[in-house]
Amino acid sequence: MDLDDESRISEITLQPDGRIYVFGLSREVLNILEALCPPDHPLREIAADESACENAPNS
Amino acid sequence: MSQRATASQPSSDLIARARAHYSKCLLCEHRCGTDRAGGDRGKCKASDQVRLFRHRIEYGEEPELVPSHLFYLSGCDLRCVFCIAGANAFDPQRGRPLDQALFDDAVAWGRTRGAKNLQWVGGEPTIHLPTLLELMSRCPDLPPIVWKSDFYGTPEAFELLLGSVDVFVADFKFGNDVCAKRLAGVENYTSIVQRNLQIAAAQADLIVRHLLLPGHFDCCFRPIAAWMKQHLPRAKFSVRDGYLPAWQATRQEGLNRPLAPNVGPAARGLAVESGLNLIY
Repeated sequence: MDLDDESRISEITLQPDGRIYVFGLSREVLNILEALCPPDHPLREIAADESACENAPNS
Repeated sequence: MSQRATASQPSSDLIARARAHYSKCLLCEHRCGTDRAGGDRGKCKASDQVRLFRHRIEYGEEPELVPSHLFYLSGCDLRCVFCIAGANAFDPQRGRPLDQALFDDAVAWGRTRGAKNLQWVGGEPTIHLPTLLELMSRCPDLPPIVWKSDFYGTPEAFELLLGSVDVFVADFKFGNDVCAKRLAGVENYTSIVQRNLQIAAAQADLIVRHLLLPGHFDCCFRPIAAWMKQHLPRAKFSVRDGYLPAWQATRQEGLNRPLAPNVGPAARGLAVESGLNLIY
């Protein structure tokens, strides 16, 4: 669909102390972050929910 | 939440009452009374045209909302120096006009991407409320509606939203009027937002979000947590610690740096100690 180009942009900032900030977290970036196993409870919860949806019957 | 649960599509009578604000706008607490349809501009500089500068499916919201289809509208009644959307938020001429065809296509696209809901964000959606109600009323397959707002709207605006919103996400930004005036340029901030939080809590599901700002733990976060404890202890409370300097904050002493790593855990600890319903 021909929509705003920014719709396809996630902005990622890496801090020198290792913190990762994402503005506009897409499904694909979520998968990457999940693979990094960050100590971020909400992120793990979201990733787990999405994984459950993917594996559910009729999903 | 992919099917509409409690909210209903706006009626023609409601839309007509909403559209009257385009001739004498009292949608936000600046209460300009501006004739936007006639070409005048108030504090937000918005006309009666809504523009969309971005829409996408996002996973960074509170877990119960994701995946959420966010519609970013240009134009805002606040001027927060740290606004992550910056010029897109403050210039209501940014983006593409949001007409019915674009809206319906975008909603359909969101459905195909598995969005649980449609979330209006800004800028500030309240200043565009008449057109948004109209768009929603004509949409054939409207998902549940999330209304993310600075909560600086008037009671008249919230009354128009009654029944059309499933979840309010309130950005409770400042814990006192001095910080609100200095950082966002608004008067009487706390009493207005607190009043609106109680209105919204009685209307629909409510998530109160606070973005922690560097150096504003005692002046902003503590008073917000204390107020929540006293007045809305069961409301969902979301503490966001992802602050990064943006817009004019990059040049402002104190706000021109990220949040220290220990502030987020400290804030969440205080929220838990206070018995708040912390969801993020």
